Amino acid sequence: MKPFFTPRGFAVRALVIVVAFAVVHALGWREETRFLSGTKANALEGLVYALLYFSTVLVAPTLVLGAAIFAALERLACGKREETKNV
Amino acid sequence: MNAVPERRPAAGRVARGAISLVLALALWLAVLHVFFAPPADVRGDMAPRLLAEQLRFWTDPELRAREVERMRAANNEWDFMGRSFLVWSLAEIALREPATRARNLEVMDRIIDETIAVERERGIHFFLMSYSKESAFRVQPPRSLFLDGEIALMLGARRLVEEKPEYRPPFAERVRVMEERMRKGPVLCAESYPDECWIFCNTAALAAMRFSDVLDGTDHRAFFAEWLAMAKKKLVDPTTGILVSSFTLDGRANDGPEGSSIWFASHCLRLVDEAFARDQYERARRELARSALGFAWAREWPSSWVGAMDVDSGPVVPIVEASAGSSGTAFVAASSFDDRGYYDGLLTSLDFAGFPIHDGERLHLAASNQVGDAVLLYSMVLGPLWRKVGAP
Repeated sequence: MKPFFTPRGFAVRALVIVVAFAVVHALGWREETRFLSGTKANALEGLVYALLYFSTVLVAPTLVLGAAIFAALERLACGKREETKNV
Repeated sequence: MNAVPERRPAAGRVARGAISLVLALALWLAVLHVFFAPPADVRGDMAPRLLAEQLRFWTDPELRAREVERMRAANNEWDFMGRSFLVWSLAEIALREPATRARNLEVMDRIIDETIAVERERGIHFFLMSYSKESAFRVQPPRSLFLDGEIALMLGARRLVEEKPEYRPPFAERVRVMEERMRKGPVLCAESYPDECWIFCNTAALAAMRFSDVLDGTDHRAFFAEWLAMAKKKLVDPTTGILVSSFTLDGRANDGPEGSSIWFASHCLRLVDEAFARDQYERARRELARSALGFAWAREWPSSWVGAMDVDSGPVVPIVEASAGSSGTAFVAASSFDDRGYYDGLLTSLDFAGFPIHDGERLHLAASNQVGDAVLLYSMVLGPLWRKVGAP
């Protein structure tokens, strides 16, 4: 896997999270989140689903946006290094 | 010697990556609520879907048995309260939409008859948590105001939609017994569990008495005045001014103020004293309601009180201290007091963290259960019933 601290590294992690979430969603584990209300459920499936869901709605978009900002900052930094070399 | 110049760009890249993540997180958190904002017409859009799912429980015995078994494994009360909130919701909808009246009355009657039959055949403990059997009720014979109050409200709501002569005697009898038992208590409150009175249940009983005044011409004004004077003197937490949630028959507090009690209690108190009810709501709003970034939630306890997570608070999210039980009943109070901003914030949080499941024309919250969805439905449709018995 790509090193984490690269724009592509961020984007790949976001993709991994979304794919993992899609899998547990397809498995129907969403229903098991009823454990959150204290109702009888398969708590492990519910917990895994909840963690992947919150990762998908909180972490994955942050990584995607972060990748875009990171790429822009990297281009700026490269430009500055080039300028310094030329001087 | 080459190590230093190679490390600099790597360290710079990590710093730029970290800054990018912080900026991205700030940006995403600022707009996140937009993706979970409620529809403009909640009553027209979400309520019919929630109702469709709720009605399925009363047309599909297998589905209902499975859901009831799951809920009763955690709390017998939920089996009972799921019925109450659904019956009250059906009454409100029947008053709002006369075309639904016949169907709603049929379902309401079925639920009421079945609930009373179960109470008669299996006893009050069937709908109570198991500790109800561990000691004796101080006022004999044993009765629970939790059951009497909500059953009376179910019967009264049904009669307010359309009179049903067979329900008049059991309704009048429940109201008479409730007043008699509340008067026997030193603080004009009756037990829901042995030597355990709840503000939730006692205010529900007061609301049922108000129904009785309108339906049967009784007059509880003197009792309401006595009760209010007593409550302001003996049942209010001195720090927050909020009514405590549970106490002994003598009025000694078991718990302090709790969101899972006060939100619904303030809604019921509107039928007794609107100004006091609003004051309680505003205090609860100040002490328990929280919002950030377009999301809203409710704490179970004010910051001045330390409580232990239990079946009423539901799970509590650390740091923000969002309580599932308190946030759920906060919907009822926010709707009752027409607090649209807070209500929409609560709905936004629910769409974000309640795991809604849309199945055709039906909707339920996976993270909730039948009673939680029934409370939400009630919050969306409440109004006409309370207005019919004199709430402003």
